[in-house]
Amino acid sequence: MRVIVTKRVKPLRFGGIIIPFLSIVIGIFLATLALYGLARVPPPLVYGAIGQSLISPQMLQTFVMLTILGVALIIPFSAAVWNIGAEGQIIWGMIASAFIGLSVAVRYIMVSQAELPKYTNMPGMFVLPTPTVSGAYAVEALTMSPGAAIALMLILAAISGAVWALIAGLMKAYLDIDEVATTLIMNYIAYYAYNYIVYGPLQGITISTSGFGLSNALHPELRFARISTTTTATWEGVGLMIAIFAIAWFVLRHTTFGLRLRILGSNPNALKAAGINVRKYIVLALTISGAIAGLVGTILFAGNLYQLIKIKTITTPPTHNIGYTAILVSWLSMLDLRGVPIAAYIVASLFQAGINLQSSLGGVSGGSAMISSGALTYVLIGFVLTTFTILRVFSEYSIRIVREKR
Amino acid sequence: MNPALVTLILGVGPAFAAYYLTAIGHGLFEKSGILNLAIDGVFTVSVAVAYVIALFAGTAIAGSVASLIIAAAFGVFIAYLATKLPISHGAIGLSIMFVGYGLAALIAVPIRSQVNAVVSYPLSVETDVGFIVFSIILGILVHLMLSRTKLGAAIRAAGENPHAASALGVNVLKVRVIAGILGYALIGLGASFYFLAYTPAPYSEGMGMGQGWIAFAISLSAGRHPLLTILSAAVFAELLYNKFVLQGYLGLSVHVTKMIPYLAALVAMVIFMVTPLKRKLAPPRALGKIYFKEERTV
Repeated sequence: MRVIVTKRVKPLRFGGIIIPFLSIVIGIFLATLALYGLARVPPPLVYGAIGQSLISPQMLQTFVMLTILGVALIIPFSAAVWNIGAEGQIIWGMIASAFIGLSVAVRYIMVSQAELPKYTNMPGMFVLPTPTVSGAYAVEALTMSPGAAIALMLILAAISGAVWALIAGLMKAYLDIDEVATTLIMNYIAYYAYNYIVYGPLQGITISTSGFGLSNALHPELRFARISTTTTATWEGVGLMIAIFAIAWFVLRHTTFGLRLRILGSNPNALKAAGINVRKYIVLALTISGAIAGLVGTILFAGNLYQLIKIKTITTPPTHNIGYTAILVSWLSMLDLRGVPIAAYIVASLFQAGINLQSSLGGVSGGSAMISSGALTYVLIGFVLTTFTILRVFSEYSIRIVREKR
Repeated sequence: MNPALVTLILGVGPAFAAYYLTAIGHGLFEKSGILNLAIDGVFTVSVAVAYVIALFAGTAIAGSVASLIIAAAFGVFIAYLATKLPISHGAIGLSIMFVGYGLAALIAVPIRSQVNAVVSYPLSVETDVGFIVFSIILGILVHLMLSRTKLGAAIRAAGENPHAASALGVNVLKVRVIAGILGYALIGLGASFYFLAYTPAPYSEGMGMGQGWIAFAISLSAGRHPLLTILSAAVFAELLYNKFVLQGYLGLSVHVTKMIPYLAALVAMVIFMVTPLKRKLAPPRALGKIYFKEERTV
């Protein structure tokens, strides 16, 4: 018996729709098998959790971030430059936003407990809940308008993410060092740098934060506005998502730059023959990607967390590994921008399904209730992604199994 | 010699064995030309398997053997798919990483919540030395295999230029599957030592996650060379094992200490690409490239 792989003359018709759909169905089925076989999780619970998550407003924030990151990754991916480092770029975006939001845009006024009531209701003042090490209370007062502060946060976050990606871009373009390994390694460097910063320069000044790996809390006027009380998604986040998507759409589809990026992905030699500086495009693809990922850092910090919290183990960063999950979004979209929101919707649902499933496991015997929602999400996403990676081959290749004649 | 100092230096034995074996397994597999991003996920699964099987069999060796077999099975799966089908190595590696993270929890967490015990290797200065000697012997064997045998030459050829190797009569698929088995068996063994000898605490979810990446960085800082890896693994294992001591003596932040292996890997990658070391230590030229041989259909 032999497996024969041949390239199709034309890609499979409707392959861009059929293959992701089939992968999701088969992947979820395999995940259910694993969940039942190894941990006795009843399949109806799994399907229920997934069904519930498809219409859950809680997944909206994940959807917004995944769509933006999906766009961020498609830009280098279409140039066959593999940015695995969105995690690190988001982390630097968070650090940059925190630097602006916690130290540039506010100053701290120390007040004694007796003076405190005067400040609690004063507009523009934010009293940190616990006293500082010296016993006085700290009040955050804005030094600039909230709009300017948020704009600064976004700009510095984009620059930080871009610079972090630029390092890998330069190494790839000028030294031919594989960007997959460098961007990945740099994620871990970013995690530890983040921890160093929350225990160092950006550590909080109150007794409950200083030395505990926590920063001060962000001033409420600098926090993004939630769309409704049932979701953590914010108006600013949604606005950024739409703007980034529209710009990326225009640039990738209607400019020479976008065309050249795509040619770099499919036929770099043609680009070189046309006398185009390929290195510049490799560096730009990674830098732009890093800048957008940096913006997600701001959305996460000013929209959800409001505080930098130490990374206890490097596998539980504040990003919830969304930078890795976003790779799944770009791949599921088959590198087509139109597919990104759809893929982001599905992946965000799977993300949420892990959380829903965890909370419905309480009655299941055999200890599987102790499995974290993160691990359940990994099972779902892992099997869907593996199935997709394999099935995707069918879009451009046909695979036949032939019995050899004896 | 001061006994406290002996413990300080030799106590690193299990940690060294765990990181070193995982790193040379990774290096061996990548020498065959397959980009190995599944390492951390498979490491995590292997830790879970080692814990569960050692517990049920009542002996740590059974845990190591089971972990080795499971990891090798992953190796075959990855090597076969990445060579036979025109699949992105990065995609299959990261997918298996996610699967590994998830499966590890499914395998170990339900059992952990019912049984509060852990079976591990007995630890003493003698076994510490034993771990070091055993892993270095394996490392020398891997080096001899890669540099002196026909199989080793075939593995390197498949990693440098699989099409040329194939034209010279190397069965690239077979060679890469063998590299997958051997490489991942070493990774599984390393993972089992990580849990059963280095950190034999009661299992908690996520144990071993991230350690595979440290081994990845250790291997890359030594240019995937099995003998040079002894040096990088020893330095980084000692750094991580004695991180609190270092913090005290050198005033080095623990976060910076943990960052060092990754920084070293980045610096080493640059050095290996720009200096004459390139001839020996640069990554295999076909690493991560899709190997697709157009076949005429019948």
